[in-house]
Order: sequence, then structure tokens, then C-alpha cells
Amino acid sequence: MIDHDAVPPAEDITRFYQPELARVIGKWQMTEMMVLLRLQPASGERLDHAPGQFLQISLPGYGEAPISFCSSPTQTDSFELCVQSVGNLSEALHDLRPGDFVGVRGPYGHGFPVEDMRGRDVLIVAGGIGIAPLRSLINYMADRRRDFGRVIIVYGARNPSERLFVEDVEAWDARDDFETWFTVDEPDETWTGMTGVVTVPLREVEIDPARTTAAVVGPPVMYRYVAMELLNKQMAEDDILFSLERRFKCGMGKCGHCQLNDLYVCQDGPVFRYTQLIGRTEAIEVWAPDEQKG
Amino acid sequence: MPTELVMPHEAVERFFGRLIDEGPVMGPRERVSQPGFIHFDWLSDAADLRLNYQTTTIPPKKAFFPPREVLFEFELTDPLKITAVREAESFTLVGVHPCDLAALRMLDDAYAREPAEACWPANRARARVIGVDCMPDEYCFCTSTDSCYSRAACDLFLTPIERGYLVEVLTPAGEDMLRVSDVSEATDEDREQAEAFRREKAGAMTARLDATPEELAEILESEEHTELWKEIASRCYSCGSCNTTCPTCFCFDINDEFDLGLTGGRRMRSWDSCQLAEFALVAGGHNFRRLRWQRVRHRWYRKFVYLYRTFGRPYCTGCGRCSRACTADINIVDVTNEIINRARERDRQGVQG
Amino acid sequence: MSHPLFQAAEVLDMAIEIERMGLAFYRGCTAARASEQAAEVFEFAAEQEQQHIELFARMKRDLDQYTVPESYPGETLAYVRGLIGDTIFATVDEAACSAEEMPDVDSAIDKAVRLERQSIAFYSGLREVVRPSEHDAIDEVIAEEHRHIRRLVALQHELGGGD
Repeated sequence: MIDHDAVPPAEDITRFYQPELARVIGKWQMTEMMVLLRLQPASGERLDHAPGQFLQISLPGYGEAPISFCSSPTQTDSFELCVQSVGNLSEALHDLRPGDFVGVRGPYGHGFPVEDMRGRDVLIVAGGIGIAPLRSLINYMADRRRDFGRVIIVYGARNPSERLFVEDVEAWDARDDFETWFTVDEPDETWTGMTGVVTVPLREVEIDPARTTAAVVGPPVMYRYVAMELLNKQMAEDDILFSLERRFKCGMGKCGHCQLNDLYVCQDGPVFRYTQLIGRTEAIEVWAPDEQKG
Repeated sequence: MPTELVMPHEAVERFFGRLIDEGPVMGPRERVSQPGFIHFDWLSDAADLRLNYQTTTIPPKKAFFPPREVLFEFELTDPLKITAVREAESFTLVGVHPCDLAALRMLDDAYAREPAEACWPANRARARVIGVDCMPDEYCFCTSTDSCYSRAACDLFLTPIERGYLVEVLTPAGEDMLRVSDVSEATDEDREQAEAFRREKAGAMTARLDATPEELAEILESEEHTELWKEIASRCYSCGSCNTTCPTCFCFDINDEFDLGLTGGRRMRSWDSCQLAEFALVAGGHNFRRLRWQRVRHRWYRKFVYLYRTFGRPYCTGCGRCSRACTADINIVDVTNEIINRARERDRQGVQG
Repeated sequence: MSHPLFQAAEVLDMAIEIERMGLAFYRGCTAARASEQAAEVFEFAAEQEQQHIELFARMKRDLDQYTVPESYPGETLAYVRGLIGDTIFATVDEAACSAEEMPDVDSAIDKAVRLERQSIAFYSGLREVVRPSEHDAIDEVIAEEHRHIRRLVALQHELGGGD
């Protein structure tokens, strides 16, 4: 029953919608379209996110958008977000300078189940900008290396100039205890590595399916081809983790924008076990080029 | 058993007049610019109240979930200044039909589900609610959705009887509202008349769903019914009127507004519609319900499967607003019964085959 | 697997890509001009592949044309090639390389039949990853490939080859 006597203060009522301030302490242009922002909550309090979780970043007047953390929670003094230039807000975020403030609220959602992954082999499959949330997990595993078995990283980019986090990638490659497979679909004269989409090296990777958890993030086209390769390797559907992108508005399972059949991606995801997506028709995106038919 | 009192005809206007004197009252009244059109709006004179009215176009949920509301204001100072904005004044919402009362409780539950949203309950806590019983038109089907006799979310409930209204006192706040009113104990005769009104109401219901909510959920879950959704979608304009008029729709969008001086502005929350093409649009042009039939399908599944499975009742009150408002004459009862009957026909053929 | 990963339309995209490869193979063999008879066989086979491409394109038009939006042009095709590359395309390449050193019509037809059989195996695998309601479209592709094999084998017998 509604309590007619208890109307809380205004800031408590809107607390879900109201961002905290965070200061930009670093900014790097990674590619033409991608900027990396390093941020620090103005309150000095840690956000304490898990790899795979996201937050809502906003600039008053430009609005708000969900972005996955791309730094590891083991990096405690600050956090990082990778912003792709796609609209008014993200373009304004690209214009930020160190010292500027942004609004943040979160973290939200279920990230990668790192506790369940302890002791297991982890197969990372990253396509394009999908490397951003996976970098959070990879660097987490790098800092907690003994908690995990094999760490296998398969990362595909469209072309060499669109590869993100090149320094991290080189560091992962240099480690004896990480197995790395890098590929580009459209090589140029500088590229000496593998050629093809991410499924090409993935097919070569030998795993022990019973011991392996796969973490997959990439463009929509990628998921089903990767799923097919992983299932061909006899992996259990429950051990395949997909992180899905939706347009979260509220982050608390209310606004309806991220609904995937009966699930709210912002609450139940964005990281899902493949098992959860089976039979949910809206998990795999479809569209008709002929709009009139819709 | 709630206390049942009787408010005679001559006391009704006095009662609501006193409520208006005490504070803001929203209720069904004629739109000033459109005589004959009844909508929920603020009342300044009890004589304007229309307790005997047919379902309004926009449901009374707007009293607690306005079509557009300010969440906070911001000033682009250094550092940025953010000020929460909330209405705090108490008010009374009167003349709410049982279907709309049921809807208020549904939104109570939907917004309270963890992590709980706080704007809706804060607005609800500001208001007392008085319900009133009604007679159906050809679009109403509340006997099929278990909301015909709802007394949810209200403090007083009025049922028309010969000498005025039978008043069910459901909460202490309701009792408080009646403290200086001319009400008397209800007699068995009054109670029998109220019962007769309810019987007449149920009997007058011409539209009904051909399955229980549970059967309907099972039918929708059993297969995808894609062909039917495509048929419906071929008529749908994706205008979103069904969402705008729905008492149980609670989706929203969040957007910023700048002041003209560009030195400050506000973050707004506004009603949104899952039938609009851009609702499920993601950065990069990906759209997870790009096709109209997928959006039409989503509306039915959300109301009769997803939220039904979460909260144990369909998120449809049988008010019929979506059917009345539909620019393409898509009737929720007809479509739902078509699904039910096609599924049963297939089952019969399956058994025979 | 009992759940759909792909739409039939996407499988048809893959089929069209495979047929294009087959077409290139048979055209290559024809150009090698091993013998008059062999040239006829390969021209026939190439013509068949051309017809298949048209058939599959038509079937695709008749289906709801579902495609997942690409993050860059050609992305889907890149994955299709990644998926079928090792199975079908390797065979095609290998066959194409040896076409010039393959004057014997009999063994050329054998190779073509092997290629078609592998395509069928590939389509049968894909059949499991589309919705049951779309099995018909995939079955039709498979049936068409079977007809193709029968024609090739019949031709082989006509020419006095085969077992």
C-alpha cells in the first residue's frame, strides 16, 4: 500500500536519474572515430564496477548514453570509457578536455561472471569495438592471472588502422601466459599478421571445451558465426557469454528501450549466457531492407 | 469487509466542493475547449465534476506519470550545478474507474520492482484516490482481465445507487476525507442496489476474451504467430496511439532541453511508445524491432506474456482505450481472439491429423 | 542444435557464393580445353551453376529478406567466406589448380561430383541452424544439388566413363 505520509526529498526521488560528476583526467584519440576518456569521480568514491558492466555518461544539454567500462576494476584510482563518435552527445564528448566534468551514473547490469570463471580457461573473442568491454576483462585477468587457466585472446578488426588499444594488445602479445590471435579483414601493406574475420583464427584455436568459458563481444553480424564455431568445438551453450548492445535509457529495467523479449538487457545483461538467448527471438537482430514490408 | 456508507445525491457536490477547498483535485470534467469531451483535469468547481462518464481518452495515470516531466535542472557553471525538481503538493484524484484503479496498482508494482523507481511512488504518495463504478461500452472487456471489480489503489470507492452513492471506505485516508460529510450507514437495500449495479455492469459487457489470461499466455508462448502479426502490421500505422492511451504502459524516454540562453536547462522524462520505429534503435543504425510486425507482436507479448509471467496478471485492464484510439481500427479483443481461435483450430486439426 | 542461428535467406547467400565459386571452377576447366568432350561437360556444368545462382537469388527474393546490418560494407560476406572457406573453397581452389592437368573427362566429372557432394554436406549442416519453418528452402537447395549430381553422373555414363 502506498504510504501517503512519506514523500521523500526531491533529490532522493530523482536519485536514479541524477548523475554524479566525474572529471576528465586523460583523453586519447585512438582512431579516427574512437576516443578513450580517463575519468575520476569528483566525490573521490570508487564506482566499483565489474568487467562487462556499463554506466550512463551525460553532458547536460546533450543527453545521456550507456557506455561499457573498458578499464579493469583493478585500476582503482580512475576508470576509462571508449567513446565512438556517432551523434551529438558523443561528438561533444570527443571535444572534452582534461579538467572538464561529465555526469555519470552506474555501474549497471550483469557483467562477466568472473567468480564463476575462476580456474577456467577463458577464450576472448573480440570483433571491432567489442574489444573495449573485453579489455576490462582481459586486464582484470592479467592482474589476477593465477585465478584463471589459459587465457586465449582472438581479436579481429576491419583493418589495421581501426585496431584499438594497440599498446595493450602488444602487452598481451608479449606475455608468455596469454595466447593471442590477431587478424584484420582488410589488410594493408603494413600488416604482417593474419587476414580474415575473427572466425578464421578462431577455427584454428584448440581448446578443452569442458574447461573453457568464451567471452564474446563484437558487431551484430559476428555473433552467430562465432556461436557456430564455438558450438562446433563442442563448447556447452552455458559456457558461451555474449554481451549485447541496446539503447539503455534508465538502466533499471523500467524505460523499456532495451527489452529483449521478456528480458531487460540493462538488468539481466548486458552479458548473457548463450543458453539465455536460445528461443528468444529478439536476441538475433533481423531486418528487411524493404522498409515498406515492415 | 470495508465500512460501507451512503452519500446522498444532495451531499455529493458539497463533499467534492470541500475537497477542492482543501487542496487541488483532479477528476473527469468537460474539456473547456471541447464540450462533451470528458478528460481528467484539475477542478475548480465541484459542479464541473462528471462522475458518470465513459472511459477517457488519456488514462488518469497522467496524474502520477505526466506525459512530460522535469527530473532535474542544470546550470552550466563550474562545477556543474544540478537541482532535483519535484512537485510536492498533495492532491486528490477522483472519479477513477475500476480498470484504471487496477492499472495504478500494476504501475505501483512495475515501478517498485527492484531496482525501484522513485518518481512514481513519490507522486502516488502525494495523492488520495476516489474510485467510481461505471457501465461498459462496446470496447470494454474488463471482466476478461479481472479488473471489473478492482478496488486497488483507492481510499474511497463510490457505486451509484438510487439515493446517491454507496461509499466503500478502504483506508484511514478515505475515512478522514468523510469526517465532516453527510454520510449514513448503508442498509441491506443500499448494498443490494450496488450489487445489482455490478451485475448489470458485468451483464452489459459485450466484448470478452475467449481465453483466461493463463490460457492466453500459454497460447502466445506456444508459437510465434508470425503470420497474424504480419496481417495486423499491414494495417498498423505505427502511430503509437495504443501506447499513449494505455493505462498500463510505463515506458519512457529521457532527453535534455537547453534554455534559450544555453547556460542551463533540464533533463526531461517523457512517455514513449514501443510501436515507434526508433524505439529499439541502437547506435550504428541497428534496430532490434525494425519491422512493424515485430513491434506489434512485442506489445501483445509484453502485456500478456512477459509482464503476466513477472507479476501474475496481464498488463491489460480491458479498458478498450487502444481499440478506441487506433487510427487503423485494430481492436485488441478481435486480434486476441483471433490468436486464440487460430491456435485452437490448429490444435483440433493436429489432434485429428 | 535445435535453435536457429541463421535465416534461410542467409543460407541462400552462402549458397549463391558457393555456386559462384563453382561457376568460376567450371569456366576455368572449360578454358583449359582438355578435350572437346570435356569442354562440353564443363560448359554444361557451368550453365547449371549459373541457373542455380538465379534460382537461389529468386528463392531469396521470395523469402523475407532478413539481413543483420553490417558495421562496414561486405562484413557479412567476409564471415560467409570465413565460414565456408575451409570446406568448399579449398576444394574449389585445389580443383581449379589441377584443371589444366586434367585431360581425362572422367576424373574431371569425379572432381565436380565431389565438389557438389561437399556442398550438400555443407547445406545439410546449415539446415540444422535455421528455423524449422525455413527448412523447405534449404531442402530445395539440397534437392537441386542432388539433381545436378545425377546429371553429371548420367553424362559420365553417356560418355562411356564412370564405374
